[in-house]
Amino acid sequence: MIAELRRSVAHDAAAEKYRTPLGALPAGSRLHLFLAVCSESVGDVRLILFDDACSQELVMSPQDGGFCVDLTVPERPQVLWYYFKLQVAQDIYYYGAAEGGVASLGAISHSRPSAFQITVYAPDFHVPAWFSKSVMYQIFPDRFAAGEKTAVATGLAYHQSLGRGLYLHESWDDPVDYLPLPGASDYDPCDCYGGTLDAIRRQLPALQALGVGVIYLNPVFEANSNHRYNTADYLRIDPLLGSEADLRALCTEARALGIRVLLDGVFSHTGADSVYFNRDQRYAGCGAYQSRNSPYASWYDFYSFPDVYRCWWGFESLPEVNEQDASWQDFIIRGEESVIRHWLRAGAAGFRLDVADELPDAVLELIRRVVKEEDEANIVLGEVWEDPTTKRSYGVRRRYALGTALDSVMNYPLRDAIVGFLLQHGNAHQLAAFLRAQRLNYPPPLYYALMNLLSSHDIARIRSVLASRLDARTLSREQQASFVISEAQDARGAALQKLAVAIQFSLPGVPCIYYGDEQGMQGFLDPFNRAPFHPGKHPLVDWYTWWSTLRQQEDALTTGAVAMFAPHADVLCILRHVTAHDVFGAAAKPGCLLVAVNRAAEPREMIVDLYRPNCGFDAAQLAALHACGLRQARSLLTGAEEGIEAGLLRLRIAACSADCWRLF
Amino acid sequence: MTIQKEEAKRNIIGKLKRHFGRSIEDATLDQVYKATAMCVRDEMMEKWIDANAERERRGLKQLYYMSAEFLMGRALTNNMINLGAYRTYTEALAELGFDIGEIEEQESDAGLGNGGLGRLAACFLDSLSTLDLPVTGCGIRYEYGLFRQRILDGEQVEVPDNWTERGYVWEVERQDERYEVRFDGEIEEIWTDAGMKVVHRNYHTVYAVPYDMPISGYQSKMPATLRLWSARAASRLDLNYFNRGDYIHAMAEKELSEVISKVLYPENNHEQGKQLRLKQFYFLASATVQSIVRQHKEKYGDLHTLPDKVTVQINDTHPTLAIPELMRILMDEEGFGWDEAFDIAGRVFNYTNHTIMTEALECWSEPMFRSLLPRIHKIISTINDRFCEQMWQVFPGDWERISQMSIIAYSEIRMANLCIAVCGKVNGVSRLHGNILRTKTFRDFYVAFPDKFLGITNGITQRRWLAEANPGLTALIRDAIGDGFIRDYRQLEQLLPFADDAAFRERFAVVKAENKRRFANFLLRTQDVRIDPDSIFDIQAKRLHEYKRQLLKVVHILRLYNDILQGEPFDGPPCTFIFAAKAAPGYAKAKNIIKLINSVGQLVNREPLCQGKIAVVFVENYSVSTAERMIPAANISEQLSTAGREASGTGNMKFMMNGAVTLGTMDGANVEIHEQVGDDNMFIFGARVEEIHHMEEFHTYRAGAYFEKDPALRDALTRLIDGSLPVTNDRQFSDIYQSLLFGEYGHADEYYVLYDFASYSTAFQTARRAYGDAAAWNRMAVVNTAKSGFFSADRTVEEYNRLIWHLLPLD
Repeated sequence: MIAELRRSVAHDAAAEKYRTPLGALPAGSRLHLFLAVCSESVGDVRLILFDDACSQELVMSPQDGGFCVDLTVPERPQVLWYYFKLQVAQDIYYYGAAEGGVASLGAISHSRPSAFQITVYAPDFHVPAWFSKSVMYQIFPDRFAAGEKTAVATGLAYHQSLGRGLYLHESWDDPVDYLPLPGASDYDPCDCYGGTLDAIRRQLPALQALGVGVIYLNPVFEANSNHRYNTADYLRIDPLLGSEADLRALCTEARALGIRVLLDGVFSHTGADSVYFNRDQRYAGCGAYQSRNSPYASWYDFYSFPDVYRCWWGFESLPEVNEQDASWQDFIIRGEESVIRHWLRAGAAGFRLDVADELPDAVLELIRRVVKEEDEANIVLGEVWEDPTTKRSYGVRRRYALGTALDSVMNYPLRDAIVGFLLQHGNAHQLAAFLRAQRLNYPPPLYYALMNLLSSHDIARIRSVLASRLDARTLSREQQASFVISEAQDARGAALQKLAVAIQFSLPGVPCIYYGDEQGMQGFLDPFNRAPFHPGKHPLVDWYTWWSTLRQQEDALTTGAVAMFAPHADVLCILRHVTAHDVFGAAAKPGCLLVAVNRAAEPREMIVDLYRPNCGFDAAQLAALHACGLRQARSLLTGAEEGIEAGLLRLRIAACSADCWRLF
Repeated sequence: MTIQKEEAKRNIIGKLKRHFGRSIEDATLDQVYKATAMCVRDEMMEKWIDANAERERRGLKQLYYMSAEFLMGRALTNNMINLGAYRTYTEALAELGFDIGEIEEQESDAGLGNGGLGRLAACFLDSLSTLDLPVTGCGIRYEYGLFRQRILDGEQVEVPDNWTERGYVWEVERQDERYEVRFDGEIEEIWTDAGMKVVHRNYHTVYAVPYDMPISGYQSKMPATLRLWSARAASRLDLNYFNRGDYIHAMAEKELSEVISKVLYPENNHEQGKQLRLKQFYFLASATVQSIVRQHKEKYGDLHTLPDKVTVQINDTHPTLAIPELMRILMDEEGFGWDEAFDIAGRVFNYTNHTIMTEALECWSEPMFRSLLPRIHKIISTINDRFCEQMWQVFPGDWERISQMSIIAYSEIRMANLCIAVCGKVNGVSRLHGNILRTKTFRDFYVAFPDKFLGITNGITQRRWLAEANPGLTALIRDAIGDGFIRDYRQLEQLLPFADDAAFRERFAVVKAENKRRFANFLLRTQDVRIDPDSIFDIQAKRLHEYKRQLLKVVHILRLYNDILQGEPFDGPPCTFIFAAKAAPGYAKAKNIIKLINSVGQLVNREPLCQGKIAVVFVENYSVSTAERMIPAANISEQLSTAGREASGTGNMKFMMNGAVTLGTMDGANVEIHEQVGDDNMFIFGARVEEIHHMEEFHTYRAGAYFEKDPALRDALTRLIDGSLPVTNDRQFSDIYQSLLFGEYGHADEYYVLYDFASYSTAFQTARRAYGDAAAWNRMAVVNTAKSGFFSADRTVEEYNRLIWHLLPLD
């Protein structure tokens, strides 16, 4: 029986025939679901619709070739799930999501299956357009550009005067330290290279030339480490990096060049060595550690005052704050002179929120309100490592991606999928299915603003991953430090990185260049991925610049419709199309671009069906594509031309390469 | 090499004596025809036998062209011309007191085909043989060919065509080489020491007996073979019943079996699966494949080399069952494994698609198929499973797409999908058709197998359609550029400069006028219809189908009629509108259109105001021999199909070759005719295929709007229902009117008659005016003939050979 049902029952969450409208839905909208059944033996079909709290069973009515149901999704943003229950004679069967695909064709089963996802988001969710149209550049401030020596020395003297162990490498060319200092048991990230905000400012023209529209700065506030995730003073720029004036100058000058600056907001915890906790008593005031009467006492949770307190992942240097505390909220978020307001007014265009999972939804929503109050155009970007629409933390289903909190998140899953494809762990079909699932399950405003990264300060650099083909997490720090990437490996890594970049830049969202990736810098995990900026042996500056420039010129690549498909297991295609209006209804420059990436060591030739349905375009977008009557494809990289016949294009793509065609 | 006149006379007289016991003086015309044909046949037989022996000795690869239809036409004249003996026999007969023309008429026109597809098969045999490429055409020896058409009271009446009745000279029955074909029964899979064996039990046997016919190309060294299979009952007479006096039961078995090769189905582009038709196709497939396998084994022993020695072209899906049949023989009888058998099938078979009308893509009901052909069903079902598996790799998760591509779905077996899944090459029959197959009809298959798809434009043999059908023009061309064009189509283009030669044009016009007189006489003789040979002969001759739009021409005639009645000037030459078309007997609408043509004919021809201006004629029983008389007489060739519907058309090529100027849409091979002759030598009208596809996709066509805004069109259509037309039933044409304006299921004017009407009217007007300038018109006519070489079937066959077959000639 099940074999027969396997052939005769179908629902594809990515196909409009089965689900209209496609994709995530604004709260309160209507949804039509259809289960195709071409078997006489199926008597009754129910839709099982549920969320984390409750479940309901809806009777589906017979419709030509199957069963259907119309429903209204909740008025409040949330994620819903569904599968189908079929009565076949005396037996019950289920039809639900197939393994690894909540946004694709499902499967029949005897037992309760995985469910298909319905993302319901806030109807007023809006992300500033400038962000979706930008290329991001992430800077680890100590390591990007060497500052003026005396200024740095002054800054260092400040820390040392407080008794901190921060120290300067003698040379910008030194390898990063990773071993414990003499007498210590663990490596302490105290080695600095003397990068400054002022030095970053001097690099702005180069960043502009690279096509950058937004800089994301890792933390810049005073802290007792080179990464500054242990904030000591939210209201002071770390003297090693410069001053508030330097930050203001950086922001002002950047804005004049069309570049905005995002700051890293580390709000879930502070440094133990901070104005607020002041465990080491380096600050004059009264910290929470010192007295229960400290103005900051209510920020922290002491299990046993003062030495046992709630801290981040058990690191005693990082006491966690109580984000529900009104005084903390006033200080950081809400107050007229709050930390967030202060720095936005100083020129920042928004915050990347460190460990967003640690901040309750209500706090994130409050942050959003304040950030947007300061300026509608500001951005709230969250650090989330997984699918943000289905993330749970501390037993709570998170709603931060549904339009009430975050504008964007760091898209680590994309990075994993791209790497998996390029290193042959999966094929192009799987990658395309992954990409379509993001397109369908994420609220469109978030989807078009995703921070699409290949490297960051928390993961291995893309070049090293692709060159070594290793998962850095399997290597010890010593192995990482001593690993030598050969010339040939680096060249191979550079070739694959070009493919990764082509995918990254042709998807909706904000492609982010982690500083030095464009130079081909190497480095596995922290701290090796944070080395001082250096040119690599196989730089890709031209390649990055080419794509950034293209994105600036082509609305299709930023806010155009997107379809992804794999005409071959080794070839991924991304089709972008925009008419006079983009997906958000804004005026756009019409255009159609096809990006293809061939990971194989051989050239590939295949027929690409540009009109293939269910690849990301909805019916209206597909009709719009038809309507432009494409006749010709011209490679923007090689100039090669090929005719298009009724939406069919014969695609020739060289071995291990990416190409971009303008279709017209 | 060829015989002399005196010898020919002796031979004819000898045959009459020996075979018919008659002297030349008291022989009937039929006997003289047969005696002459036997003489010609003798000559061919010798060459045929020698050539085949030589082909075998050299181990040349051979093509089997499988087709349910071979529309051969008469053979005598064609064979004489190809042997280079036409003049000898003409003179010999003349000296014996007989006119070759009369003798030719005695031959029955074997109508074993419906139209283009069957005629293409015949042209291919001629071209292949002319190019000395080894080929055997395989088909069914239908006792009754396509019905003969009579028009009674303006309506089509079908009369059976028993072409074998008087004996057929050209064929050789080969009783010794009969094959057993099995139907019905059950399949049992038995495990033996040698693995699994498939046993077919309780089947029903029919024997297939081949009738072979040599087909000689022009001055060919390698005559083709046409092998037509005839069904024979296992036992022809049941003596038990016979002895009891139960004669009906005694013959029952014979009748049941032999009905298989009794009649040709009148194909009508919307055929439903019928059991007898399926039996016919399996009968053809099984007999042919068995004979291929046996011959190969006898010669080479090992069937692994089959693809090196044999290539099979499947002419449309009718012979598709040859694919599973070959696999059955290889696996069940020769012990091959699945993969091996499948691989061999893929390298042996190729498929020509002839239609993009989805309703005409052949499907069989699975239960009926399973019960009639249990083993073949099982094989197809396994092919399907494996194919779907393979497509899952290409379109992972795309369940819907794969079910559209699958060979078996919704209890139907889809022949075209089977062909594409297995065959090495799949070709369309014109460039446009090839493109539509790739981009529309079989789009997903194309994405999966881009290298399988080809478009090879059909062709016609200039031997029959120029040299034989139009001796006057042939003589004129020969005088101008020699007779090399008969063998080498490229040389026809040497005629091009003569388009600017006034004297040549003059002679060209004289030949055309003579052909028109000849055809007018033919009509007078056969139908007692008188037409004006000085009028423009505007001809539409082809099967009757809505997509071919005879209706467009009829409605336009009504418009001209209205104009004349309203006193609008009709200057310039008069015009005779000539129709020739058979409708499938079950295609009521098509038959009603025939009725309409004849009604309009009556209306127009009786109207005094129309005298000397327009006239309408319907030519009965359109067949190869009628075409050979009609086409050389044409001035305007009407090729009106809705863009995207006609796969190629070959009538269009025949008219062009004979100096008619095409008035047509950008459809099928018209597109390439246009490419050859350009705007100046052709009248193009109507929607382009992109326009039609766009309207279909977005449902933007509103027939009513065209009715509303064009008064001339409105008035013409109103004639269908206002009682003007002479009919017995005054609602006779309201269905046509309804379907143009409202349609069935809200789909009005499915073939865009109203949409193209205005542009057709304009194009017709332009063409008629152009005819007024004789020099310019004749120039156009000459250019058309000169440029028609591209449409020689020799060119088509060369392309097939280069891209698909890879045969070597016997030289």
